[in-house]
Amino acid sequence: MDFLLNRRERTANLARLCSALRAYSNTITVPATQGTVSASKLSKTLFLSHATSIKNFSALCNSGFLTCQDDLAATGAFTGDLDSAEVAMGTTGQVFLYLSPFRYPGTACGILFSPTLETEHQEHGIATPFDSGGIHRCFRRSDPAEPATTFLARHDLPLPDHREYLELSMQFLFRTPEDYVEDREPVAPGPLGLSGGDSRRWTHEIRVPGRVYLRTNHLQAVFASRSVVAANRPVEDLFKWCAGEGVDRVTFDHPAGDDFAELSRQSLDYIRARIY
Amino acid sequence: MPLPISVEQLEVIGYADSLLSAMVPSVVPPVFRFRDHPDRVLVPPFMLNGGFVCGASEITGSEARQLGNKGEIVLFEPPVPAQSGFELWMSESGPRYESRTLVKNTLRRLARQFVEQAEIAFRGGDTEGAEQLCSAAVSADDRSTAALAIKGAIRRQQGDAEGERLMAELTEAWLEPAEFKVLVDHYAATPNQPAPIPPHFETSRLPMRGMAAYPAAA
Repeated sequence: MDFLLNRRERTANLARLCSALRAYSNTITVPATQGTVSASKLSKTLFLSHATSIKNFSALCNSGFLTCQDDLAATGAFTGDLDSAEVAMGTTGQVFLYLSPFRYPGTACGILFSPTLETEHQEHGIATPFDSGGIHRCFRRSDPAEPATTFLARHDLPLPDHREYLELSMQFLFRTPEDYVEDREPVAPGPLGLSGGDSRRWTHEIRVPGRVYLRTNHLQAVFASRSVVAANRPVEDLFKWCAGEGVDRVTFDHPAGDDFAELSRQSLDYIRARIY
Repeated sequence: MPLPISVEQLEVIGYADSLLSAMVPSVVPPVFRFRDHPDRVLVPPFMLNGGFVCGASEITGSEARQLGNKGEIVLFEPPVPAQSGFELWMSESGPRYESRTLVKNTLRRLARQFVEQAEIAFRGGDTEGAEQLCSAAVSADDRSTAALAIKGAIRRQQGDAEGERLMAELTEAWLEPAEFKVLVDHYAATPNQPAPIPPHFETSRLPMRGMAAYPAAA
């Protein structure tokens, strides 16, 4: 059983990375600051996010599932891109989610899943303690000669156990645990040997093979600007479903004028209200 | 946090969204790039403040093209010099970059026209046409109370109480639910009839920015 073997490898990766991070923590001094939430609580409860364009979000609401690039290409909905980070990293068969508020480039709609989604996908799902696309695009590695896919495989972690590494990161590398969520740089870079880029360098990425279904009890919250809800029937239908199922819904003014950060801010406010 | 960047150094090369035709016309978030370094691209989320872009994420031109291939952003040619106080919006004939005041006035005027046409369509029994026109109106002006009320009336006509309730929620930032109901009653009670003057309510009374349908942490 390939995936069981892979899970064993991922578990071994986790033990090695946690051990390295503990050893690293003995070599640095991070000023102790009292946070408003513990690393243990925040790492265990942080939601999985996915933001996308209005057109893609409407298609997602209509189909009822997030799907990988391979599936989109098979249906003709995506023409493929040989230069893409997913092709380079061998991740075209996977759906991407992030343990963070909504980041770039979406401004109008997004979804959050509960951490329970990871338990459902623990056999086949994978986490990395960084955005795998950043390896291809913008991070610098301490050993650039090592193939990017090999580097990625060394850092593949099991679901949901990767949150143990997240807890240690929040505890040892950041001034306070919530700095991880609030997009403030870690005080120490950590032992992974990565530099450059932005918050993608420390944001945990979750990759689930194939599809992630939307209308399940893992759906935590749906965010969309008022006009997206009112002008797209599939989005309106999802919001109605959420009302019936007790899933949180957040709407806001359509981004315009000086402010194209409302979606990101709303997701951060939501995380603060629910977890801090 | 990235340093603020003057818009004078930038040009607009696209927008950070991909719209359905039902959502045109609409303001869209600009994608910038440095005039002197075309491979340095800035995408939202960001704020604009005094002619500066604050908090943008920087990506490469290659990454921007990949986001375009995934339908996350749309890139266009030729680039347009970025200007302070300007707004990018998608018209029926394509993207336009104009002064914010002009865009605001144009979109409000278009929203009013769409509402007038939607009301005529709804009263004439063309529910589908009315729905499309309301979508266009609310895309142009997302605080178009009349467009949301006509949508509410359409949902009521369809026996969709939850849909009507949702439209009421979307106006909660500036309208009491009872006031919204009066408007929906007005539109729903008179299908296939000449249009009477609708009730008028102030739309900017409540300064709340949005609504959040979730409880705070215990």
